[in-house]
Amino acid sequence: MSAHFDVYLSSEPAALQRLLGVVRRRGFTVTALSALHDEQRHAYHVDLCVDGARCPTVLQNHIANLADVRTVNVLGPLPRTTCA
Amino acid sequence: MNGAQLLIRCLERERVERVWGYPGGAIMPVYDALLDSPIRHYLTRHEQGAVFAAQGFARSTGAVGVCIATSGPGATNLITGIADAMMDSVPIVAITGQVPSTLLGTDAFQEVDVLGITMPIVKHSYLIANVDDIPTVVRDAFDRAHHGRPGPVVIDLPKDVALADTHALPIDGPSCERRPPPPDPKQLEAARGLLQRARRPVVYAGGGVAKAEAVEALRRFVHTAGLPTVHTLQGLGAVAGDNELFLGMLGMHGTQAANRAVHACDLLIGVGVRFDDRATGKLSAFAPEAAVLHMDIDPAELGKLRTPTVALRGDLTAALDALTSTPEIDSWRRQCLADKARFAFRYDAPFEAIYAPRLLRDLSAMADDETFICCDVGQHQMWVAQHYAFRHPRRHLTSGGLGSMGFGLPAAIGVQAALPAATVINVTGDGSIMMNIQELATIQRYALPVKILLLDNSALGMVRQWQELFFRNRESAVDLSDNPDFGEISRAFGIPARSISRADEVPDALHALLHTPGPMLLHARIDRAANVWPLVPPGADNTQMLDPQRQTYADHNRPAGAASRATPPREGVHP
Repeated sequence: MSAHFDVYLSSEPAALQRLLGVVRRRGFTVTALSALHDEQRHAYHVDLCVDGARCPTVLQNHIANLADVRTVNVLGPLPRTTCA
Repeated sequence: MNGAQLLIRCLERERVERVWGYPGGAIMPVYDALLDSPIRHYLTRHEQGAVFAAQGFARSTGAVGVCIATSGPGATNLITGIADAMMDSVPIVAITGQVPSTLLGTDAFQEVDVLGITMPIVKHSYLIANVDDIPTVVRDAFDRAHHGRPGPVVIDLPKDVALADTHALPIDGPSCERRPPPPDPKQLEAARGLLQRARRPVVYAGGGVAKAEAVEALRRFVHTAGLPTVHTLQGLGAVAGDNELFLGMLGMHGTQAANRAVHACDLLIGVGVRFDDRATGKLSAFAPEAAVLHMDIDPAELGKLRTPTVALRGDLTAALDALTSTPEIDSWRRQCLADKARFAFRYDAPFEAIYAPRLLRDLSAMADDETFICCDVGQHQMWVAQHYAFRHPRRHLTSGGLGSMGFGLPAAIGVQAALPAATVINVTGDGSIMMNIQELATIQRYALPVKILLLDNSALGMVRQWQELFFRNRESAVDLSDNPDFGEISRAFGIPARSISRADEVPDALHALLHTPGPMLLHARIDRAANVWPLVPPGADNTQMLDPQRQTYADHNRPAGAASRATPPREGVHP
């Protein structure tokens, strides 16, 4: 199932790699990605679309656990899903 | 002051008293600074020994363990231990030297991308670019390692940064303790409703209980409600092993009573657990009739593998205390306890050979409650989990998630260094001990009274068992019949050793192990054919346990009066 995330990351070294690493390790593939550096906020603003067989809500929680992540929001309703 | 000296001052501010490590080129400024610090450095004989020792310290005390290595191979030798700490949520800070900043990315001597290599196996990692950032990075690293769900943090320090002059100062005072958030009141109310309606509840408690300092709260919760309780490998001891309500470990090598209770329950109360595959077996058939109340500090665990009926994130103590009740479950409790009695382990093997489960049961009875058991990985690890009655989870150190052979001996070193008066026993196998046997030199050098109980079956026993059961008994690369003389090895390191091979030698040998001052190795030869029972085959659900001890017994573990050998081979089942 697909999911669309809006992520703000501190612009620390390897922040983007960490984000993409979590997406891959947790079983999702990136279907669309754009990242802009916001100098004023010292952050990357990432628009991220993913696809995978697992529950996107769990991926959202894993992304939120990254130290560099300030916010992670779902754009639009996530598909209804059972994660079991 | 240079960066390395500042780093050490920062460690002192974090109340670090001991570190484990191995020097080398890029980390030399840090080793120079250590000479002027009260921090005690323990030189291990391999970086993997250092990281597992730091883990031993952290797992036994709950404080952050620290290890140090140089760049390149020094750093890569830490990798297994860092991954191990990530899997089992152990708070460590690993400090690695790095080539000078100007050489980064040039394939310099002993350069490796530590930040990149460790990214999937750390809670967070830092490559320090500016010497003045050191205080902030160290504070942040310790904070992250310790708070929330604990885990490993890596600090990679280029040599030029370590040598750069600075006027920066450590951040004053140690990191503040932060309580996890209280559970959501609405979710608590929903959880109370589940408990009130439940007629067959079971507590499924894991390593998160001790990490949340919630052992006493769990015991109050279980005792007040009279709840049948099962533990994961990491949870063992949260409810004491000799508590009537404790049904044993669940899962692949769990007890029949534990797995049957979980399968039949109508409410599964998961406390600090992650529904690991070794615990659940076939996930779709795990606790199939149960509503699930899942309590954990990590929101990413809630619903990761099993959708909870109610999820409680945050402070386990607060949640457990708020949920303590007295449900009417007498009939269910009696059923669980009857299963516990019916399927209890038997130790009445009448043979001359040493029966490892009985030896470990005897050790459990002879050792005091404060004894630390540091396991390696394999059959002996599962026998310890099954037959040693732990009284607190921090007394049981075992590599559960990653399953790292070689963990036990250096972990015992870490515990013993922190707690010199404690009895610390490394229970190991003839495969595992060879993974880090060089650390006998560390025991000898620092006069650590670590005890080593080596169960030697001249094979990689767990792999051999699986080959026997699931690969038509085609043994491949498991024979260790050419093992060295472990007693001679031990004595070569200045550590006394004793070897036994008969059951009647066990009591005296265990007494000697526990009461001989200083370190000692007890080498116990056991039957090569011994298997760990029960066993849930891979891919099966937890009710499909292979347990030939219930019907017939293999020669090596047949109790008096039992019939002859019968192993239950299953073909076409793979891990």
